[in-house]
Amino acid sequence: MSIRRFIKRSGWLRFVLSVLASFLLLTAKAQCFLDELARDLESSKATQGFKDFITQNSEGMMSYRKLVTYTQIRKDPDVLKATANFLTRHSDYMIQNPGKFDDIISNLASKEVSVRCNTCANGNNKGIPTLDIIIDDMDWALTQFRNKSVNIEGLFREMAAKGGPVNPYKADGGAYMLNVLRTKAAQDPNFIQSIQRFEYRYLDGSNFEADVFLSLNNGTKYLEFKSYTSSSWLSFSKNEQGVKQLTAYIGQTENFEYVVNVSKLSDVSNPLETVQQQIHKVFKDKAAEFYDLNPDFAKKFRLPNGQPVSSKAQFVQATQAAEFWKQINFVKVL
Amino acid sequence: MVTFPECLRFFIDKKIAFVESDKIRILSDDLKAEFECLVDSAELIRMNEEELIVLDAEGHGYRIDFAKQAISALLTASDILFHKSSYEEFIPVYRFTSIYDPFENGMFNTEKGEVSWINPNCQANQFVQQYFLGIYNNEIHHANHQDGETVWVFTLGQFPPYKDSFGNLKQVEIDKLIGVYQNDLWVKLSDESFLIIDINTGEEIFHVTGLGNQLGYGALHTGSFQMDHKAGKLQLLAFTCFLVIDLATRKVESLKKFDQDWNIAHCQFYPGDHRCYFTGNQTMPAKSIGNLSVGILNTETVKVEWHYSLPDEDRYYSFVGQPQANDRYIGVKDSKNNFHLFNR
Repeated sequence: MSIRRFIKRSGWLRFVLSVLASFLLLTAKAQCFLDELARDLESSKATQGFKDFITQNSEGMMSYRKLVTYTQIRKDPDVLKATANFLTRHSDYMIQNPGKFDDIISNLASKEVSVRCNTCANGNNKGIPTLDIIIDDMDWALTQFRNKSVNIEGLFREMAAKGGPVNPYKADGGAYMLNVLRTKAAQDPNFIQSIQRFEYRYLDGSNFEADVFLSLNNGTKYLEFKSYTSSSWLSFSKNEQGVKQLTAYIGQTENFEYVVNVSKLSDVSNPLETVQQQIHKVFKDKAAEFYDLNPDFAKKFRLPNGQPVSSKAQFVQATQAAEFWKQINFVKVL
Repeated sequence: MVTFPECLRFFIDKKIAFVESDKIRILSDDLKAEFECLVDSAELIRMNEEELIVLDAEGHGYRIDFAKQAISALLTASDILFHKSSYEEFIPVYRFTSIYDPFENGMFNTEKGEVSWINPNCQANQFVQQYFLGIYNNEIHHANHQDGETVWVFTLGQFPPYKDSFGNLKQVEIDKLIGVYQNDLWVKLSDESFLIIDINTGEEIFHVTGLGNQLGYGALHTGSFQMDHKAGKLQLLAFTCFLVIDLATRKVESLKKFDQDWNIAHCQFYPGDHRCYFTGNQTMPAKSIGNLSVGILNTETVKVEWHYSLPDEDRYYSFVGQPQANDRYIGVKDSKNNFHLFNR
């Protein structure tokens, strides 16, 4: 309905009243956020970094307003800087995907995920980086992948999924994967170019997995991200889906690597060995099948005396040896 | 196309044999089952017009006689395990009683049907043409095939670590023994370089490095290869391109990119046949993690002459391993253990 028609139908007085009401409402909201800011700035606990950032940056105010619901996070200068950076650099994303950034932060700050920030007293999730780094990683990912058809928006959409007891954890899994990708990209300048597609699944409250399809000028490679807790790894050989997937990799491709979230395994003394030993159990159970699926793969392993495996019987025997797990070299903990 | 389910392995030569978990079936020319023999998870060693030699899951050897349609054990002693060989007359043989006991490597003469020798010091276990060689602990062992005594041992020296395809730093290892041309033993290392070793002395002669850089390809990863002794060439598949190395000059002679976005790493070569039989992909599959196509590559024109593709519907459904072919058929297995046989 146009304003002219609205005025015509409801009369001048009603129009003036509605405008006034909207103005008052907006001011009240702004007033509320400014009150909070004033209180935070005056607080004896406010860090100098926070004060400096808010008073010296116009974007600081914008970030503070975005995070105003979170009483500790909104005072963290690093998170404010990262948020300001993200908002300025990705205004197009913010307009096209309203509310998604807010929902991701809300999932990360939820009591389930409990993200840490440098100055926050609460927040205890050591499985993912601190919030400022996560926001930086999101900025990096959006910059790198926005114009490639790798479905980065899809990943962000998953991270922003709301409601239910498990959805917040999707943000946890995504944050871990983005950080690993960024680390890998820093080590290898060709890495970004090689990424063709993300696939991303959450399994349950504390586990998620994702595949990154890489393509170089010499074929397709798969990074299989496993952000599993130690209890999930300890039952990996009974995880039907996980075993099926490992079997498929062994039978169908030689180019795969399991990237394991080391931070989720802080309760075990040697994360890499733990994962290798659990995967060894699968090899023990399925040695004959693995050999039949891919004899060339099986023949890369050795018997305890150092001799290379050269038959199915030998592969079965090799996998029964206590220290066979040391040869499982497609696992990387990061 | 005919499809047979529950195939563990297959072998195509003059006849077609395929292995199920407890038996091996020999097909007649019209693809009917001619006869079958009970062998536990047979591995195929060698096939000619008269016979087939297989190993069972335990490593015991058997001869299957086509005329008699009968199977007989190569040896009855239960502690002898065979290892397959491409060399016509002999199969290397291992003796051991448990995995913690050291092997005793030996040689079995399939013509005479007897063990020629057993030598616990021998580390060779494969024939590369007429040379009896083995890779063990990053060493190459060359042994005399008449008694297993060591001729020479080559130890891989220090090489700078290299980045694998996931960007991880790895130590260089001996990967494959390719073949011997004149006196040059060509060896592929895990960093995709080639080492040339004097087959008579075991001395390093030459190191072929930086193939990818030379060709402006960055890292070059190779798959199947064939040494063509007559032409003096080494043919290599490298996913997006086909590479020919001149064995005399040790330089790249030609590099051709596959057209139509073909990506091929695994191919079955047959000596004297300028076609090879591959599994690969034409474009990157949207769902499958494996190779969706089987086909025939003409290595002279570097063109795909024929191919058949599976639907890209299931993450875990694709062709697996290498196809095999004879004059009439091409066969390949899929990840659901179906054996596909195509008329050429």
